[in-house]
This record gives sequence, C-alpha cells and structure tokens, in this order.
Amino acid sequence: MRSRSVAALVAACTLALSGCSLLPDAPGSLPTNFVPAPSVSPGEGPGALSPDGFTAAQRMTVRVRNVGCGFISTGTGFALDAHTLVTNRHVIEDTKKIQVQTYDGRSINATTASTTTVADIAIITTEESLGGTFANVARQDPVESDVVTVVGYPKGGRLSTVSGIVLGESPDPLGSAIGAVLATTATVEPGSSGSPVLDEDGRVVGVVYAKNKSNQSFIVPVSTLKTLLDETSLLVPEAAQC
Amino acid sequence: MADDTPEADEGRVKTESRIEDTEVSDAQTGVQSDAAPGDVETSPRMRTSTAKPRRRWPWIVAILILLGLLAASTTMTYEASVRSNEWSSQVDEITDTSYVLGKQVADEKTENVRLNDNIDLLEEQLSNSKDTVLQLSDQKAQWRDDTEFAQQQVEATEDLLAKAASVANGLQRCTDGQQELAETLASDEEYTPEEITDYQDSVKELCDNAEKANSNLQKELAQ
Repeated sequence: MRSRSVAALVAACTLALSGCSLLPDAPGSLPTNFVPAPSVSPGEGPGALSPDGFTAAQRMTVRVRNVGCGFISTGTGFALDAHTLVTNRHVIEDTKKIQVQTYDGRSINATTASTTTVADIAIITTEESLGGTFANVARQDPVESDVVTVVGYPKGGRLSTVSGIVLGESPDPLGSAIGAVLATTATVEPGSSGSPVLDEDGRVVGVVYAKNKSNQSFIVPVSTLKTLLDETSLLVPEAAQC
Repeated sequence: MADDTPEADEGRVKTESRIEDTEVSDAQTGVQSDAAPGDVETSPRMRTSTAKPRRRWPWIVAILILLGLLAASTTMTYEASVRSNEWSSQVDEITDTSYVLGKQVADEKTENVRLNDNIDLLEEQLSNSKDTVLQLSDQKAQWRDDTEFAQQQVEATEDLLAKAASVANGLQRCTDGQQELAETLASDEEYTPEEITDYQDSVKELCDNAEKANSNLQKELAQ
C-alpha cells in the first residue's frame, strides 16, 4: 500500500510539474522603425481636390457662342481632349463664327466644326488648348432609374449643375435623330443644349439636346456619341454661312 | 458459534502467545531454529516476513525522482521568474510608449480640430472665390455676347449706311440726269427725237433704279 501511495505521489508531482514545462516565450524586441502607411491620399477619392476647387465636370464644360448671320445664340459643350469638344448640331447651325468660353472665363475661337445627320451632335475643334480636364466617356448607356447630373450654361447664364433620373428610352421628340434617345427628369433650359450628362462616377453617359413641356430633358446616349466618334465618315464639315 | 466458547478463546490466546514466544526467541538469540518447517507452528504473517524481506529501492527511486522534480521545479521557477521580469519590463516599456503615443494622439487631435476649422474657413473662402469666378466668367460671357451683338449691329449699320450712300448716290445721279435732260431740252442745240427719247429713257431707268434702291432701303430700315 505504501509503495502505491508513493508512486501516486510521484506521479502527481510529475504531472503537476509538467504544467510548468509550458512556460511562455520571452518577449521579442519592440519594433522601432514602424511607420504606418497613410490610408488615403488627398488627391484620391470622390472628394479629391482640384487645382482651383472646381470639379472635373465643371472644368471640362464650356459655353458655346454661335455668332451667326444677324443673330447670336449660346449653348454648352464639353471637352473630349485639349482641342476637341462636343456640342449639339443645332447650337452651331447657320454659324459665321463659333467661340467657346471656359468655366474660368477664357475665350477660345473654334477653327472647324463638323455635324452629322445621325444625331443632334457636332464636333468642334480649336487651335488653342481647352484646358487640362477632359471627359471620361462611359462604356454603356444609362438605364432606367439611374441618377444623372447635367452640367451646363442654361439660358446662357452661369455654369450650373442639376440632377435627375433616367426615365428610359424614348422616341426623338424632334424627329431628327436616328434611333432611340433617352428621357430624364433633369431640368434643362435653352442654352443647356450640348451639356454633358454624367453618371454617379462622373463619366459622360449622354449629351442633352432637347426638352419638352413637361420639363423632361432628352439626351443623345453615349453609345451614339461613341459611334460618331469612331466613324468619322458620318461627320460632315459645317460650312460658315453668310 | 463454537468460537464464542471460553475454550475457543483460550485456545486463540495460546496460539498468540506461542507466536510471540517464537519471535522473542528469534530476536533474543539471533539464531534460527533448528526445527524442521513442519515442526514449528507459525502464522501466515510470519511466513510473509520471512519470505519477502523489505525492499528499499522503490523508496530510493521515489526520492530520487522527487529530488529531480524538485530541481526541475526550481529551475522552472527561476526561468519563469526571469521571463516574468522580461514581460514585466516590456509591459512597462509599452506602457510608457503608450502614454507618449497617447499624448501625441491628443496633440494631433487638437491640431486636427484646429486644421478642420481652418479647412472649413478655407472651404468657405474657396466657395466664395469659385462663386466670384463663375460670376465674373458669366459677366464676361454676357459682355462678349453684348460686344458681338453690338459688332453685328455696327456691321448692319455700316451695311445700311453703305446702302444709303449708294441710294443717295443713285438719287443724286437721277437728279443730275433729269437736270441735264431739262438743260438739253432747253438748249439751242439740235437733237434728233430719237436721241432725246434715248436720253429720257436712260434718265428714267437711272431714276427708277434709284427709287427702287431707296424703297428697299426704307423697307430695310423699317424692319
């Protein structure tokens, strides 16, 4: 009996000490050169700063002045690159001279203008650079219920921004376009013609060209615009009138 | 039942006495009995003690193991103490660093609040500046529109003036022609009727053109 007790005691001591074999490791040295990386840069994200505080949409949008034969009309356009901009065909009809003015007041004379019968679209080129911000053209047309933003010069006045929702495809109310156009709830005025229509990511998804009595605006979808830009044979140079 | 009788108790006592006698005899003499195993009456306990002498090696082994365990526990205790001190030291270091970082965070938060106030102020200034830029740009655009319109008006007026001058010139030539025709008719020089008729026709055509141009000019001015 005593031997068993001793054996049990030894086993218990061994078992108790075996727990001490799990001693924690000694602590490692603390890091001394850890520099956390910044999570966001001021130059990134939707609220990114621009050189002068204006948004990219504002910077790329220009006011188009059509000095015609005994009349002056205004519209809106937007820069595709430093020397090319898009507007409506009816904005530059019967023109003698086309001038564009940037958001910051710079006036630039257009050198050539091309129009098409496919849609109410015109392409204008300039000799002087339009600036450093250009349109980011979307790959697909907007769909119903998409939120869109229109930046333009309604009534030839100040640069302004309005928002609306895409209502869906609609026949051309003017009957001048081939194919369907899109109707939106964004409120536009004469002078807004040629305004870029932007999606929530700031990409151009269309070009404003008309409105109806219900204050619905109509836009040329970006797919049509891209087709015209790809097929330059569809564009015809607009001759100066008078 | 039989064991409870006095005789039985007496017999048991006798047996116990005999065992004690034998053990005493062994202890006192230290000499083993010469009697044969079958001659001596012994108890089972006595037989065991005689057959298996006490073994001490389990105790020695146990004590050695316990000593080993004691040494191991002492070493582990020392090691645990050392590591505990190291951890404690590092905890103190981390705590100090945490206080320093906490103070830095507090300072940065204060600076952040100050900078946010500045940002709000700058955003307001930027908004006002943008508003001013757009307003000035709009004013410039309107001014350019007005200038272009005025230029068109000037060009139209110049065009009208040129037309008016042309009309005036035509009317003057008409007047001169009629005056010359009158002088011709009144002069003594002899002209054939055909010559006079041709002259009258040419003057009439001249005056008709002048009047037509004048009429067009008046219509244009009336618009």
